[in-house]
Amino acid sequence: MDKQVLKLYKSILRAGNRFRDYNFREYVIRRAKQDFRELQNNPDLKNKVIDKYTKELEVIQRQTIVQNLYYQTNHIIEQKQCNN
Amino acid sequence: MRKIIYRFSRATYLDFQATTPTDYRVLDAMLPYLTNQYGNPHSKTHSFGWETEKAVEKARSQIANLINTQPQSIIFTSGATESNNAALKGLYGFYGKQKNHIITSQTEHKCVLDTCRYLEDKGVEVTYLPVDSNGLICLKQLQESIKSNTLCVSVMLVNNEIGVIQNLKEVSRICHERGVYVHSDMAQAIAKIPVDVQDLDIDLGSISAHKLYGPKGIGALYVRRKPRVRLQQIIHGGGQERGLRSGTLAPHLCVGFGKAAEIALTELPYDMQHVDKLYNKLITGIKEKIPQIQINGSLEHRYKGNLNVSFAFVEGESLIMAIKQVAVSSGSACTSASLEPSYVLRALGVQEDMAHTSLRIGIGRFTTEKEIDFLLDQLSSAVKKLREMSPLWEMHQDGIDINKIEWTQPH
Repeated sequence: MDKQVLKLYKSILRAGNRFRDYNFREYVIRRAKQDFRELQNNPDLKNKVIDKYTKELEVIQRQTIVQNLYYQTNHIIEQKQCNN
Repeated sequence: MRKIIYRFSRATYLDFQATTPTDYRVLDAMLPYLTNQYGNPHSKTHSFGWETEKAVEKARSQIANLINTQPQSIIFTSGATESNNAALKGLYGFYGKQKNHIITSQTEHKCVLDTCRYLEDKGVEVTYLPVDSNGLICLKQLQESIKSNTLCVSVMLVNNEIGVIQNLKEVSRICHERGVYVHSDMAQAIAKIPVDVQDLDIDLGSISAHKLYGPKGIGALYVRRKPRVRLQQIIHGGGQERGLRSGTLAPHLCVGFGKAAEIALTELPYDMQHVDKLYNKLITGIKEKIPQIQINGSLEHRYKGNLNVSFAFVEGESLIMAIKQVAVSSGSACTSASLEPSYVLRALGVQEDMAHTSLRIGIGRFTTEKEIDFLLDQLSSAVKKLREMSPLWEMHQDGIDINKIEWTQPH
């Protein structure tokens, strides 16, 4: 994978991990992994993926701030993981 | 004085048919119209109005793309309930003098059934088609019920309680041969299965934004333009929305709805794949871990994200309370405040005791595999615990057939 794509992928994962909400965080990470893995197998999707994720990155950066402002409490699965 | 904060964890959300969380991308699209861009889209004289009008029209075309039609066919309403009301009452208002027979099914949403009841008081004859034990209407019965004065047929595409997908294409073919309008409540189908209104050939369709990860409080009505469907408006006023629905549009809700529709269009194959995977996991898990269950509704013609299961020898309310950490819906609660079991399950022919223990599990875009594992754990332990306390279960284990017992003494 070339440097630009790799850099974008890492920044998406880093931004997505800032979601405190369990469901949104898992969704962003899962979809990013899925899309970039598909790109590895199919290199002509490169422009589409780069376009989509450069816009997505800004949305995720804004939304992590807004969603976390109103975050209430953790998901039951996260608590179970803590206790174990 | 120190404030004591009680830390509690939020339950797993598995009730995607009741509503869906607002996608973070949808909220991002809505926020500008709740902050800086507050103009009225119907103001024609300044840029505040022009910019919000542009956004609303963009949203309209995004929704039209999702169901494969033109933007002029979409009317914004306050939700699928209003769309259903507008469709049926609107058709009756325009054509009611010559045509006053409506056909619908027994498993429709409450708003359709209640509107039909209201129209019955006004002198309309309504036929409620029964469903077979799989939840599907019989096409031959539909054909026989159509009379010369039939106005329209209203059949929902995906049922909200049991997830069954009706054969709407055949229904449309039968109805259009005889000059009858077809209306469908597509609220549970949009963004879950591919919906193409040209292919389905329907005349009117109701859409609800909060079922496709959009905001609550907005919906749309698809009104076919070729051939033209004429409706009488139920909300009178300044003639907005082609005269069919007056009132100021809420730009933030329309834009949110449009963004949700755009996301749904691009993400549909991924969402369906994800839901399929989780559904297979769920259903193999339930069949393995919990004996004596019954799945309500056809397994073949089904939207995989909606599973309605009945557990024998378990009491419904106590099961819901035992799995408090999972948010699911029971088969009876969402339709009536009384303890009567759901009319949909009754129409399917499900026995009273099984109808009381039914659970509706909804899977969606944001559900994870760990949540399904958690649900299976909770369910299997709760059902096992409740069955151990049940004398009926003991009798079943001893080989006694419950149905053959004489509960009362003969006089």
